[in-house]
Amino acid sequence: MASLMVEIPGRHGVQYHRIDKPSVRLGRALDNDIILADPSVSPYHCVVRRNENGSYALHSLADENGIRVGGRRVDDAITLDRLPLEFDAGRTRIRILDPAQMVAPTRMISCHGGSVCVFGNWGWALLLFSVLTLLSAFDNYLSTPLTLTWQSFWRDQLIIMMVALGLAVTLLMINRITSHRWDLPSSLSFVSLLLSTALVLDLITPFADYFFTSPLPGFIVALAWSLILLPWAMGWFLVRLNHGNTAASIVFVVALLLPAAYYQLKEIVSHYDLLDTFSKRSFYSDTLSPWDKRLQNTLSIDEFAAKSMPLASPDAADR
Amino acid sequence: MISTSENASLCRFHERLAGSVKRFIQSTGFPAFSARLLTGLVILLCTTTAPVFALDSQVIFERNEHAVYQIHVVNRETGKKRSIGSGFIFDRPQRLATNYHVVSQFIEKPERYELRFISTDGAEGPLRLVGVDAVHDLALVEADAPFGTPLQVGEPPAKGAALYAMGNPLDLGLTIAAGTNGGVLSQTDDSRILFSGSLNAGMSGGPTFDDQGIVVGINVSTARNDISFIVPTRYLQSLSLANVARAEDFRDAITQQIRDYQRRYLQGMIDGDWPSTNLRKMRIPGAISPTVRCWDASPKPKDEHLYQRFSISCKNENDIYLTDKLEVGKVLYEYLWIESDQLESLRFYRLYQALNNSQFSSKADEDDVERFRCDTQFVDLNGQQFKTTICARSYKLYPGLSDVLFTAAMVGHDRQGFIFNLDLSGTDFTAASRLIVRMLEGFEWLP
Repeated sequence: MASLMVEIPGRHGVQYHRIDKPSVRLGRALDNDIILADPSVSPYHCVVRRNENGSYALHSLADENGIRVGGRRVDDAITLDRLPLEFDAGRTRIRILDPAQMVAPTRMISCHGGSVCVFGNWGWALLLFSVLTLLSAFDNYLSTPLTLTWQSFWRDQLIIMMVALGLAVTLLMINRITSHRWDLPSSLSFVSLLLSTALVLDLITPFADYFFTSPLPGFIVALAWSLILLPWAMGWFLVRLNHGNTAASIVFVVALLLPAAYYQLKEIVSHYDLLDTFSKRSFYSDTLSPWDKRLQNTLSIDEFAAKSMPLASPDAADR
Repeated sequence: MISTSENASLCRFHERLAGSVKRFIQSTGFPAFSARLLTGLVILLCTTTAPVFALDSQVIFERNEHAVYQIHVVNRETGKKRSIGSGFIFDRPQRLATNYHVVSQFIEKPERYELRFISTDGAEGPLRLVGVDAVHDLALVEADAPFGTPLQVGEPPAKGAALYAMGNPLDLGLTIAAGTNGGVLSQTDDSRILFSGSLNAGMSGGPTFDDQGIVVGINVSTARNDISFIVPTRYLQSLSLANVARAEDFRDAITQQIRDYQRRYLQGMIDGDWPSTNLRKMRIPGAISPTVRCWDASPKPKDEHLYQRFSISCKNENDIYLTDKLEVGKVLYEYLWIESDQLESLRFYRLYQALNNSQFSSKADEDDVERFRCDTQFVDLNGQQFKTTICARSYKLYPGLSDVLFTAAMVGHDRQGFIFNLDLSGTDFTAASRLIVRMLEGFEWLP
């Protein structure tokens, strides 16, 4: 083994030092070969020495915190014949690597006909944001049965645009932390796309609820959205676009979206009385649709009186 | 005409009056002879002419103060009163008449509460419940020892006549409140008399006297300043005594009473002729019973509204007190019409759907009621299609009574909507569903 690599993590990424001298000393003192700026590291913490046969060994020099491998303190010399070796010097985790070791395959920045192109391009970002603005304006228009004035319309409209921009900036922060870049177009495109999808689903699901005379379609969509679609999209965004650590991204997504998923589940549990909890509310299908398209047929008043009434009787509904 | 018994009671009273006159004269130092002479004069007046004297409130109070008792619902653990009411000696020397709502906490939780009486001179003792009539808010309780002579009861005087209500408001001491007979209320199924005088908490269960000192009613409730209600004594006389010892059995009896009442009440509506009323393009049943009053409930129109909304809200005043959180006998229905010639159908239906959100308003919680169970059906009513939902929840301690919510929204029109909501509290489900069907049959589209 001609040389070794020492990997030291820092706040702005990792540093690599090549070891090709017979003796390389690590510590906090400024006359070391590799200086570790960690208050828990001793001034002269450890040394990597080349033996006569050309192999390397790690010797601890520190009395205070010493060297720990897998959490256990090791004061004897450690022969570096099986790499990589991971150890803690104080609170700094150091890896000693073999320069010949394989590295992970290159992550492609696929912007040639790939969907990822959409994110990271200012043109697409502005287009998606415009789509979101139009969709929310349409939704705003539908739900305001009043004469619209510019002032009242924009007051509501600005709120959703501000929310979208705020979310985009939040993602931008994550982007900065994970990939050390400021990539506003990708986060803006992503947020616009997500919010637009949510608005479209909100527009469509009442029709499905009316069609089936049941809140179930709405529930399924809402649950799929908060349990599957949204976590997947956020995870994809963090891992693929921001090259974030997969495990950390999953933890982040779960922590962020758990409250929403909990809320959706609670709604369903409450509606279908899965836990037999009391509710002051009566849950029924209250959707109305301008296109009277539905599966359930229409009863005559006599059929209604004869067939339907006993169904709702508390005695018949008894479990 | 005054009947013999009434005449006799009047004289008994005059004798008492003569007694107090005598005491007064003696205290002022008049010779005993003149006092006796005056007393004799009064008695003579009574036996010969027997005129209908109107008594004033002071006399009525003095005559009856020892016949009116406070009734306390006392927590068995703390020994302190939880609620108070009044009662008076009725029918038998050891029996008091009062309101059902005065003793209802005891019926609901007999393991936690007990009933006690307190007299004006401070004597107290335990009471046992012997009869209830929840529909008319009456109850009878008995003590082991006699209280005194039962008060005489009779029919209420003519509308406008003076009435005097006795009781113990807010535990401030026994008082008498003067007022007038406001007449029998048709809104309340003839079971309430309007008393234009002040009743306050604690006076419930106390007697209401006419100007002859006869008990004509039982203080029951108040709506606001000087608008109070009393129950005629005839319901007290027809109150059948339940031969039961346990509160659970009283609850069964109460359930049966209310169910019977509701069946009768709703069947009366179903069998009645209803006036029709028009709400834009719908002909609908108006006030379906003399107990129901309808009001316009349309929201105030504004220039910026691109739609027109009208509603009619109808309600009875038959709130029957069952527990502090359950009022039964409520019949509340509303019609809502909405139309627009400016909104596109998609935009119109956003608004229309938002209005289709009827919920049952009640103070009941998980101790009182089960969950609502609902069923949604589309029904054709005289050529118009409606999305209807019926929801019901039964009462936990009073099985057989349920709250029923019904809602129907017209579908199939681009820019016209019509919603019908009906709430029935503490009702018999079968009777309720028959009423709903009868009401739906009355819907008619006016082209």
